Amino acid sequence: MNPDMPVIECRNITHYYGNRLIYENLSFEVQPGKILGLLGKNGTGKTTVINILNGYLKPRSGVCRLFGEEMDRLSPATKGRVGLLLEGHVQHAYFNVRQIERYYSRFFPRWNAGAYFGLIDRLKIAPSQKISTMSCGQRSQVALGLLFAQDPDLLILDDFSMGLDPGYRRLFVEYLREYAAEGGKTVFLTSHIIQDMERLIDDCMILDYGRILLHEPTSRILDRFGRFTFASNAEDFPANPVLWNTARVGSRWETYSFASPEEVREALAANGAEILALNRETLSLEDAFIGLTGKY
Amino acid sequence: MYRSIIYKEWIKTRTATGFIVLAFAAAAIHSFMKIAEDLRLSGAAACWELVIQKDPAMFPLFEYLPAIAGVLAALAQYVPELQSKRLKLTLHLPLKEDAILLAMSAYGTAVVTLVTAFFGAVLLWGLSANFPAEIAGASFRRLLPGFMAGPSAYFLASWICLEPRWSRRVLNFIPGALALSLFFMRAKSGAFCPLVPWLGGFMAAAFFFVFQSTARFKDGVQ
Amino acid sequence: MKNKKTLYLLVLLFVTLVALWGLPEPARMLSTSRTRYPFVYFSSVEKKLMFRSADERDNVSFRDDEGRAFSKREYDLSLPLLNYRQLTVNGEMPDSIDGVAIDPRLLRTKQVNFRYSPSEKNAPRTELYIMYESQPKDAKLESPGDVFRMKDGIEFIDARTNTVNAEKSERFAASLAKAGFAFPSQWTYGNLNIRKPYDEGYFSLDAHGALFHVKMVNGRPFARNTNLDASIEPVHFSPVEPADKRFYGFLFDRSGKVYIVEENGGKYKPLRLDIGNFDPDTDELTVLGNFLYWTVAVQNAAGKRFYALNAESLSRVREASVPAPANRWDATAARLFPVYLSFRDKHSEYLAPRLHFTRASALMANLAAALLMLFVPRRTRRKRIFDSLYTLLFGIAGAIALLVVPYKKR
Repeated sequence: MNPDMPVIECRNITHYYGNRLIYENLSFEVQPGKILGLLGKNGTGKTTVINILNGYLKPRSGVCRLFGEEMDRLSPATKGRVGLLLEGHVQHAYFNVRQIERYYSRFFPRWNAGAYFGLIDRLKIAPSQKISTMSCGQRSQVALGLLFAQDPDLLILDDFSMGLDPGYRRLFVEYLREYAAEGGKTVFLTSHIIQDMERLIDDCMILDYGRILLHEPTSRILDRFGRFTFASNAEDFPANPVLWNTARVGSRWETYSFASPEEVREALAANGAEILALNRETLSLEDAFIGLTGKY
Repeated sequence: MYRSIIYKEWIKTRTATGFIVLAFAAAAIHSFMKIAEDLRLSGAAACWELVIQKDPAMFPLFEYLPAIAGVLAALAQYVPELQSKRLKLTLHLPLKEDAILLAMSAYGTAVVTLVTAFFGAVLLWGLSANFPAEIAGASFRRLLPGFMAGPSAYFLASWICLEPRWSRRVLNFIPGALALSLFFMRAKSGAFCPLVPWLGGFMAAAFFFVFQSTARFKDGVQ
Repeated sequence: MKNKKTLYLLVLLFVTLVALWGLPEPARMLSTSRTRYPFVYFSSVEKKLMFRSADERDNVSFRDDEGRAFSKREYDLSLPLLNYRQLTVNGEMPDSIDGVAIDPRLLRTKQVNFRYSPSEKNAPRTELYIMYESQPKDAKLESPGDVFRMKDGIEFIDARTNTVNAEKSERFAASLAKAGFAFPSQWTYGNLNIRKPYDEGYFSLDAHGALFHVKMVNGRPFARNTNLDASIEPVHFSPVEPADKRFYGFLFDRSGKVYIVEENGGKYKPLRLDIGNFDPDTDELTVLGNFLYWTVAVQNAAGKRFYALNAESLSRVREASVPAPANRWDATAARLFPVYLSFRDKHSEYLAPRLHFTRASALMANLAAALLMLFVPRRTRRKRIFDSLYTLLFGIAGAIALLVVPYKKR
């Protein structure tokens, strides 16, 4: 297999629910060994992307490929290389802890039972406990443990942080990082909680209604994207490609940009407004996300 | 890998299967007690004459039991798959999707068919101890449509159950229920004989209906 | 999941077939009307067939086969052999008719009351029979405690032990063999009703097509070839046990003739009913006989024919016919359903798919539906043409299936 071939490749995906446009001509790819986070507010279609990727939704037009195979014709071998976590850590909850391991173990040649039971042991769950009787956090560990035991080349995680308290979320993130670091694994995950993400994802793809807002390395966003506050007598600032979400906050103004303070000042003053006390702050990923997508 | 699928189906359906077997066993015991009572009270000769002249149903409880078992098996198998769309996990297994579905459907078919066939054999064996072969044969011919309704009900219920859209489920239910009602037309023992090959053909076709529902699920119909 | 088109067609065809039966069925139940034929009896006084008809509102009228109207009283008086109880009470019963003195015993013993329906022949049977003593000591038929089969041989099965009574079976087998019966038997008919004065046992068609009479007399087997003329090919036998023991039953043959098989000094004599062609698979037969005349009615889809026969010779005295009255269901079907499916047939106890073709003019309904299918929104042109052709073939049922079965364009 061509090592340069993207693990995930989506070309010109257009999809509607009824008459409501979800995206138009969505295209992106994920290179091997990367952890990509697909971030977006609720309702921007993150889960829809996951469904299309795995062939559980036929888009109006466009095509996705996993390991070079079209999404609605994935071969068994390719499906075996992909670990899938559904939204809400859904698993076959009628199994107990031991049964579900037994069930999945026969499907995957590289099955590593130790990885699963290692995680389970930490939770102090009895092996005979039924998954349906577990808390959300415990269920997430079972689902994650199964994925690690499967040892897939590509992990697709849909909103893994949903419903988790901070401790479990941190645990999940740590495991995931460790796992990805071990060797050439690709991870594609979605989340609407951005906290902890900066510690995890290499690349960040931010989805807005109908389009991709941004697809950049996380480090670039953290280094270059800043919040600028300033005072001005201007009533309004016209839209500018350099600036994001310029708005009045109390008596001051704020705006977001990848540009340097000089460039920002220049952009703001373009209409002759007076710009005073311009101040740049570095941002966490969550702040950057809000800066990019707006508060509403 | 197929063993694993069977294992999953077993975990899902074992309660329902136990319930089905229990219901069949209870109905069989009740039927035999009733027949034994009639033989004791009226005498064998009078019983035989009544059967020859009036053609009563010997096992009325077994007319609807297989169909109920079929519906129950389908619900036990597929309702958990549709809760939170777990079917996505199932179809994601490293096997061909058609093969996964085929294995699941074959499991359910086998459960319904084996239980009905086993109890059918028990009923006929029990009947032939006290009645001539012709009467046992007539009873078999009377039970046959109801027993064929078992797998048919299973196929139709699976088809309706796995259909992703509620409005469509209702639309599927109507022809499904009408078709199933054909298995329960009131008739003399043996009257169904010319219809049996057609009902068999329908059963064979209905086996594949569930693939239509799954194809729609895969297309993301909501 | 790859054969979506095949799956679509499979489900489409399934829904179409269900609709071909499921749509007309309630329409039939709602619109079908009772087929009302007049009651007809031959008047031994007027020498005419007398009609008693009731209209939709149950108004009763009386007339003869020439259309002359009768009052209720005139009608009753014209049929003394039908109304003899009432006429006797009123003191209006004639002493003799056609020179024959009326004797209550004669009236009773010569009375024939017989009905045949095709569903009697076209019915599944257990193929087990009960052999009663034909000459019971206390004039009451008693259960013998066993049953017998006579398909590939005659075997009596004892009910108490559920085992073959070898000794009795052999006795009957020997008797049948002696009479020349060749197994396997094609069919065996007897009158299983226990409420009758005597039992004439069974009539069975042997492997060579010869009709045999089998019964039990004083506990001993009785088997005899009826030695019917070779030109008679029996297809059905309806045994009756008339009070005067004149005949054994009605025989239907392949060429459409109906006979009674008369007892003739230990021999069997077929006597043909002079009633025209009779198809035992579609025609119903009613015989109401008295010691002078038999009134015979033959009913089928075309209508009902009535015959008055001389009771002795069964030759035709008079005849009349009534065409089948219009049925609202037939009219409805002919307008809406050029083709429909049903599973029941009144001429048979068997269930089978039966495709009915009504009238070519009903194809108009298909054509109209097919045209409408050309305008279903959100379908490709190719699909619309397919829909239209499919509807032309399967009519409203096809159109409904096309609208109901989910179709997703590529």
